[in-house]
Amino acid sequence: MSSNKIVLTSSDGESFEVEEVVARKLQIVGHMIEDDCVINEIPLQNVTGDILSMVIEYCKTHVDEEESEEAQTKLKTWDKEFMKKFDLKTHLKIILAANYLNVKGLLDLVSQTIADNIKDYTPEKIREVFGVENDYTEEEEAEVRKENAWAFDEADTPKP
Amino acid sequence: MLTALRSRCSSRLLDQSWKLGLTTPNRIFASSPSFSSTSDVSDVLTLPEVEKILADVKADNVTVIPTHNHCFWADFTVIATGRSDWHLRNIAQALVYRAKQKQKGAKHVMLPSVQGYNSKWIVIDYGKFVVHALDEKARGYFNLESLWSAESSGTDTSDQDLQNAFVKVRPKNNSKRKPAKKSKKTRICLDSLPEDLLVEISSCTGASSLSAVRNLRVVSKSFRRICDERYVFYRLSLKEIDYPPWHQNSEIFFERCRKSGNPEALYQKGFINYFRDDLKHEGLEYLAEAAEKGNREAKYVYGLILICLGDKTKQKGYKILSSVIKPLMSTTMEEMVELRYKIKKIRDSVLWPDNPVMERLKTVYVREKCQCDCKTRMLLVRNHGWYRYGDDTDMNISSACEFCLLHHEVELFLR
Repeated sequence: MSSNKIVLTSSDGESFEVEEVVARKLQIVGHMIEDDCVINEIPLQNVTGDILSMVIEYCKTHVDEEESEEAQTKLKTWDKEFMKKFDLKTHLKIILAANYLNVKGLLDLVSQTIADNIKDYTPEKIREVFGVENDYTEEEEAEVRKENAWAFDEADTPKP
Repeated sequence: MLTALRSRCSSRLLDQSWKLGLTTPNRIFASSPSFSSTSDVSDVLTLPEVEKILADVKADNVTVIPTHNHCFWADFTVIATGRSDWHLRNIAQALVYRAKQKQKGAKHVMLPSVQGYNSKWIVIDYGKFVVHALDEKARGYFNLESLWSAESSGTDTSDQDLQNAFVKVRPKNNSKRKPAKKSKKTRICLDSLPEDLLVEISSCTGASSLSAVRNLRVVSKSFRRICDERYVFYRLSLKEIDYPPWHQNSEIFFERCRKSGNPEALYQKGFINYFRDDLKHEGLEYLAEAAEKGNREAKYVYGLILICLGDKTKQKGYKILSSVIKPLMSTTMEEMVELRYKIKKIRDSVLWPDNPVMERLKTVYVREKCQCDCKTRMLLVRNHGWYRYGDDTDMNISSACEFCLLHHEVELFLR
């Protein structure tokens, strides 16, 4: 691989110089490189510097995906630790950035992390944490809960 | 007061314009007011006509605000929502086109001035009235209505109006399409996530826990809709729920899972069809589909059946079965034991002892001859249980005779 350097600039004007192989991990950049649209600096309008630096950190770590099981487990542990460093708000920012920059691995990782977070929440807690308004009427909510009962689990029916 | 409003507003626009990708930040005031001229383009196209055009192009949530008391550059301010950049441009084009059309053959054609053509906020200035076409987000963000409809007194209430500029608007939708999926209601923290990301997150949640999806559905209407997406059903984990269902309504749920291609649901249906209901053809089809989708249990059972049936399908069966068990046995036996446990669970819960289909498979199964040493057989004799190969394994599984290993699985299953 060539050791070309590419400069990525965030929406707030922060610049990051990275190896081309790392930049290619951002598929949006990868496509630009393939289409020869890249001179040496790429402005990324929808990402701020702090988030972009996290994305780059992820890409640097994942730059050579080794097949070996040992390397895979090591990466997985790293992923977990990496995600632990941030709060939910940051997770949401990262998922938007990963979606925009098209970093598949990171997108899956953050989705799973957020999913794991909300897994144990009650509906009330989810509304609170995510600032979601409950737009059900009382009857509607009861209806959904009833629907859940037979469609999603069998709490209402005695287990044999 | 007006000047205060203007400067405040334009500075805010300057501050925020990058967020929306606006190119001319203070366009609203840049448009040249032609109030002094005796005749202008608003004589060509009247306000009702403009309203009709907006209705024709299906602009959403059209609001007309009389502003003659509030500002000197326009008598009326019209605000409309476009559903996409394309739709916004379309609105502007329609407004210009109709003006042109009406003046066909005239010596001097007067057209409204258009600003911000390629942005999320297009202003079409007719002089006496100004049309603002914004996309939903921009409209919610700038909330122009609050500027004009404010009960303006001498005191400076404009500041508060701008503070209120973040008030949510409930959009009225004029298009035949379903309401914009991303309603203001599901604002998540600072930015609302696009729906496809919410589907992704919900499906991840569902892949690990069904009851979590149940909770999500109760959160709000949009979450319920998201949770009912095919992709969420496809990835849904069904391990918390027994199959076949005890409640007959649950069958509808399982059918929906199968229709969405949920491998686990397909496998369960296939197993029951094949062994319990003696619907062999259908059962095999379900099992094959689930195996194709990578479901381990399905691969295991489908492979075993193909091996037992013999002849042409035998080799295919060996291939499928070994593709499941080999990787599982490469490190520890734990995963292999877990898989066998799952198979045994469904077998024991839905099949009576001496199940006729199982019995038939026993009689047709022919063991493949192999010329291996006795080592593998010895290993298997010592570890004949469903749940173990034993930790004292003194030989490497990978060097064991494959035929013997596969035979062992078949025997365990048919036992």
